[in-house]
Amino acid sequence: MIHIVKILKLLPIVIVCFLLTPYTALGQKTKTLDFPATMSPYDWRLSLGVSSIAMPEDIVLETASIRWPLIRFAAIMGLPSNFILDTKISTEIVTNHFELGSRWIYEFNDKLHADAGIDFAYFFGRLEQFEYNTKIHGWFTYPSVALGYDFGSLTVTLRGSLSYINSLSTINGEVESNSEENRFNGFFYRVSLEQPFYKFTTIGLAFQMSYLKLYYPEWPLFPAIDRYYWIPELQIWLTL
Amino acid sequence: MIFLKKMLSIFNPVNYIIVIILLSNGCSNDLDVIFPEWDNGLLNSTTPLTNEMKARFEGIYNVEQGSDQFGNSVVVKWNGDYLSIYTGKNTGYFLLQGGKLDSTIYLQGLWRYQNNAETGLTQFSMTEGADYVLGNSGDSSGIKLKGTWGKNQNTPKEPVVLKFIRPIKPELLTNKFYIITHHGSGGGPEYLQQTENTIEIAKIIERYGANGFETDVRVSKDGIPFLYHDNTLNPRLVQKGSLIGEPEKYTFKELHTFVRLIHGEQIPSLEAWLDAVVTETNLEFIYVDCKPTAQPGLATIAAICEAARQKAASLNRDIQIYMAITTDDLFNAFLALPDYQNIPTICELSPDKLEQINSHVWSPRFTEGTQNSEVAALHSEGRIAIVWTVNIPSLMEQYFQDGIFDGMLTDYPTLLAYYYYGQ
Repeated sequence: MIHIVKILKLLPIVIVCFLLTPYTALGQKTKTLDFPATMSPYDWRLSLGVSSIAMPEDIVLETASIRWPLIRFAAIMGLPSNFILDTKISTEIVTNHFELGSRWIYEFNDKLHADAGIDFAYFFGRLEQFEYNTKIHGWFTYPSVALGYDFGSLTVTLRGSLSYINSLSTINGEVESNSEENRFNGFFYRVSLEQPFYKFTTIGLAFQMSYLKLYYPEWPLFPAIDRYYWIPELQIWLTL
Repeated sequence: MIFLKKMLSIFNPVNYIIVIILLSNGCSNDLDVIFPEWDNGLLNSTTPLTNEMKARFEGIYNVEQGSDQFGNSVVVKWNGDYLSIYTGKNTGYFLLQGGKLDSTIYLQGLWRYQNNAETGLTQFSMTEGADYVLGNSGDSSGIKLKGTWGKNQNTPKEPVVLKFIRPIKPELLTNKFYIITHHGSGGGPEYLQQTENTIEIAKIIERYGANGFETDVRVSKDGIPFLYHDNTLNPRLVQKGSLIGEPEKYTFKELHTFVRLIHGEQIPSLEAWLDAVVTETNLEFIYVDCKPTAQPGLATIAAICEAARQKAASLNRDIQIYMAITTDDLFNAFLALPDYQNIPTICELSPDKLEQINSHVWSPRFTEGTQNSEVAALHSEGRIAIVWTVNIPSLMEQYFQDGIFDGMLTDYPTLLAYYYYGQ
């Protein structure tokens, strides 16, 4: 609960962002990133955002606080037959996560949409400062489903994903250690809001709750406890 | 009008639905850790085993039944009145007590995976091989421990059978390899029944395979060195109370009086803790990790450590007690102490700085690899190397097989004990 309270302190910033939505943007069709909407084949859009994660106390070893901002860059492109190709890059310099996948969109009507898809991710990290000499890399898989509703000037999407670790290797000095092959790692769900922001841009806000054994941004903390943790995260982005 | 539309946007009910979802998401990471206990009084009917009897059935055992849960082999070793069985799987272990009744040996206790909350009751009996253990006849090859295990407080029903293969190599029981517990942590403060960095955990940590202890020392407002790991008094380590913030803001009397650690203990002074370690444990290696804020008290810490060494010598206790110099600021402050070259220290910095302060022990971080050439060079000078903090099982095994360290700091001494004694 402490984690939720701390993330809620960002809420005034969020409200200000939504207040900045100009009158001229209201009513325009929202260029969404997360909402399951079909796109014209080979039409594409980009987004840039930031993510704030509250790591568990057991892993941080001090009182949990928001201390891991991730920069997120995402792009989606429409494909034929209601498919969308999506890619995401998340980075905080020592941690880098590249995701590529596809989802299939189904529109129940002009307001209620759904999608199902899968993403494959390659992750690598490198910590060579402060007398560390550690590298890590691995592969993840994230199948997901989503349900979204278009309120007109605002879309709401609920997305659930599973997380699998396909492989993970760490290198400390000259010592390489391979582990975690094809292991179920947990799940996460995300509630996201997207609405027009300025001219043709869209602002998105998401709250993600992960229930994972290993969440890749925590690797520099070298967690060795074998259990699931609830890890809340706030994401905000602009779709250009 | 524009302003009104903007204001209305924040009253969009959807925004509030999201807030409600946020508020209702009180998902807690608190773990419900239980410590199951037997209540059938079986052991009350037994006679304690002698040290000779205990030594006869220490060794390496194959797991004939129960290998899915406990791995293929285990190490069985007595620590005082407790029998510890180190499994190597999921950092698991058994902790048992036992005795003999007629010609059968009975053992009861619990099993546990040290890196999470999985645990349960377990019991064993030994009839095959008991004659040998009890000193009557036979040899060790027939020793078999037959038992059951269960989940949590439930009556154990799943079978587990351990068959004696060979004794622990005698040199492993006398060699100086240090299995050093990382401030008495079992991976997290809730995973053991005693809080880290206390006298209480120091007294029982040998049951978990440790023969050394790394402790974290800070200095109170009135200059008393005390033991505490985190930078603040926080819910990870302390119960709710009237003191908050950095512990160094308070006198030792305030800390000792008003702070209760999560399992109810008081924060100990370094002096009281070392006294208990020297007089009430068999620990062989003490690593006094001076936190950066301990800088003003380095001379006091050094004096307390020396007093403990002298007491140990008077009691013929075989124990090494070292101050650890962990940062450049501490290093520079240490250089200012009179006769610093004769103060036994551990140096976590470079080998050059180790030479400068004449440390006997080099302690590098595990992320730099085995560093065998550096360690070999230190060995040629009569020094030793302890690596920290190695918690990942696959890495621990690799460092143990490929490295030449003289010890490791770990949150999982049961696992390191499995690798060491299982050689």
